[in-house]
This record gives sequence, structure tokens and C-alpha cells, in this order.
Amino acid sequence: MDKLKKTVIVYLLITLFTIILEIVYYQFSHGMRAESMTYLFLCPLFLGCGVYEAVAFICPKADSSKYFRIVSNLYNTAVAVLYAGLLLKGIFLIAGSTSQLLNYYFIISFALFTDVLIILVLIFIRNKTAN
Amino acid sequence: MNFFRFFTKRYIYASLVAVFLTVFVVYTLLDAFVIIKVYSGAAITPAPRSSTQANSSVSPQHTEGGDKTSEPIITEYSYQNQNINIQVEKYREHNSNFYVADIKIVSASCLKTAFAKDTFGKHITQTTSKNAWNHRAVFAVNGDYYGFRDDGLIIRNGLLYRDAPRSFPHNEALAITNTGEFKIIKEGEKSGYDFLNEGIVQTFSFGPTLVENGTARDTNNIQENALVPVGDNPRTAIGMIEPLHYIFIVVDGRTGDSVGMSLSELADEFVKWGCITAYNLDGGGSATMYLNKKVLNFPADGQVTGERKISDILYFDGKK
Repeated sequence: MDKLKKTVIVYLLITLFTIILEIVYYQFSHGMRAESMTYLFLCPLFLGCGVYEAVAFICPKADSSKYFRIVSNLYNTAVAVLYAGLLLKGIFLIAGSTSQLLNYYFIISFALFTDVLIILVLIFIRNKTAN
Repeated sequence: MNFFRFFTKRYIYASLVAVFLTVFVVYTLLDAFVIIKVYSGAAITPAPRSSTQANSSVSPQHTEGGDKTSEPIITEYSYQNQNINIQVEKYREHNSNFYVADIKIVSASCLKTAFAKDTFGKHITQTTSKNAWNHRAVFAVNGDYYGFRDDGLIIRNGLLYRDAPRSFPHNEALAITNTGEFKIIKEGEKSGYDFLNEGIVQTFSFGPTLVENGTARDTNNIQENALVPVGDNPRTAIGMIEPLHYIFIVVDGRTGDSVGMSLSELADEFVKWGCITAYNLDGGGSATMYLNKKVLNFPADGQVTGERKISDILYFDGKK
């Protein structure tokens, strides 16, 4: 199975796990709900499955590119950090607690997404000039 | 280029990221729920008042010359002396047991607050009964558990401890003035120092507001403003009939015998008692009412772990 398909399946499993986690967590939250937790499953679904499906459709041989691993590693890290931040935000809202460290998740995630974008632009420019 | 090759190694990168992220998530959880922080630095006092201003008590700990109280009249559900009259009754409605304390005091300085272990900080906790015992309280309820969060306006016993307003729409706080009046204020509307100088001696940052101007807030308003579950739960809330005349309600819940009250039901209860202002405090396992050296209700956590340890209490010790 190629890398893109494998990655889509992994994100799909994470999406399912997230839905199950939400259902179980809400059994113990005494009726309290948090939007960031209710819609958390959309993070791996759209940013994971959705993006990699789009890449597979637009550029089927993307995973054979020598830049694929570095870009996908950084991108997956950005999604993972964002996911962790949203999950913690939901947990804190339901529990009524806070932590100043939560902001770092969103800052780091944003920085990593920006890095990925910059790298893609540089690759695009390099390919253009090479051609 | 060798540096960048690290990012292409098959499982090394993923493993390292997983380890770092896990460690940071665990540390964040510990920071939010466990790690104790003592907030050092002096609490801020109000601006000095001129001699022509009303001589209102802002530091209710002691009166000069001593507070000579008469011998109190004590029963299982009441306490009365020359400064205070506390009458507690137990009721059952909405499939719940709840306790209503009708309290009349002679001076606003009779209503006091205390931090757990007399220390302002995060995750510094003590049971309501222990804290009340240490302060020789005759009556106490749990406060707003300020120490579970980093935000909220905290003024206690006339001193400003924290001025970190919560954001709209969850920024309504209860303020108690030096004349014993309850007011609903918006955190961030003014600085904590300005509130202090207006004569506010206590603030509680939890909510939502249940009753204002004699009218219960409607369900939609409560849902919008609540950062807590709105359905049946154990509750602690306080209301004012008029300055120096208060109603404290603690509701048992999360048991087969007593399911708890919704915030709307609680609001209606305060209206029944004639309160013109009422405000919800921390409930759930924190909900505790203490009278005459005994915990009257059955705190929800008590069935498993014992009375919950919390950050702060409101109390009366029978003195001004």
C-alpha cells in the first residue's frame, strides 16, 4: 500500500478513536460539553484524511518525491500539536481549570503549518526554475 | 543537509515527537490540576480614605477593643448571638435534598472569607470543615474555588489578590460591598483597584448569575453564561434579600436519593425566598455547608474520597 493511503487510514483510525473518546468522556462530564472537544474529530478528519486524499488526487506520485517525508513529518507534527491543544482545551473547559501553557500548543502548531507552507513554496519555486 | 536528513528518518523523528509531545501534555495536565503555586507578593489595599468619608469596615478580621459577644444560642440547625442570626432548614424538592441558611448580620464585616491554609495560590486546598474549624467559624460554605484557575477577579476581606478578568460572556462576578450589599459586576469593566476603591470587599468569580433585580435569569441566559453544567447537580449558591440579610443554599446531588438541581430550579428557589440578587458558586463535589462544627449536607465526593478539598470558604464566626 503506498504511503499516502497508509497515512489516510491512520488518520481515519485517529478520527474514530476521537469520536469514541468524546462519547466516553461525556459520560463522566456531568452534562458539561466543550466545543473544542465536540468537534475535535474534525481535526484528524479534515486536516488528516482530507488533506492527504486531496494530495493523492492532485499529485498521485507525491509520496515518491524526495521532499515528501520531510514535509509530511512536519505537517503531521503540526496536526498532532493542534490536536493535543484542542483536546486539552476541552478537558480544561469541562473541568473548569486553566493553564497558561495551552497557548504554546496553538503557537507551535501555527508555526509548523507556516513552515510546511514555506517549504512547499520553495519546492515549487525550485521545480519551476529547474524546468 | 545532514540536519535536514534527520527529518526524513523513518521512525526516529516520529518517536521523538511522540515522546516530547507526551511529556509536554503530561506537564500541562499537571500544571492545570496538580502543581501547587503560591502567589507571592502583597495583596493590594484600597486607597487611603479621607476622614470625611464613611467609616466603613473593609478589614473585618478584628475590631479594636475586642468584640464582646454575648453567649450564643445554639441548636443543631441554628446559631444566634448579638451579631448574627443563622437559621438552617432542610428541604426536599426536585428529587433533591437541599439546605437553606437564612442569615441576618448586624454588620457587613461579619461576612468573611478565608483561603485554604491561609495562603493565596493555585491548587492549595483544604476541606471546608477544616478551614472553617481553623477560623473558628460557626457557619461556612465553599467559595468559588479560585485556585483551580488562573483568571478571575479576586478581592477578599478588602484586599485585591488577583485582577485577571475572565472574558465575555463568562465574566460576571458577585461583589459584596462594605455595606453588605450584593452586586453583579463585569470583570474587566474597571480595574480591580477601582472596584476596591468603590468599597467592594469581597468578589466571587464563578457564576452564572441566578437572580438580578428580583428576577430569575431565564434558562437561555443561564446557559449562555454558565461555564458549569446547567442540569441537575450538587450546588452552592448565595443570595441577598436585602443588605445584611442573606440566603445560602447548598444542594446535595449525584446520588440515588438526591439528584441535584438545575441552575434554573436554583434561581427559582432564590426568588421564592425573596432574594433580589443571587449567584452560583462552585458546586459538584465542592458543595458543602458547615454549621456549629458539623458538615450538614452530604458532599458528592464524600461517598468515595471524603469531603472535597477546595481553595476558599465564606464564613461567619459570630464576630464583626
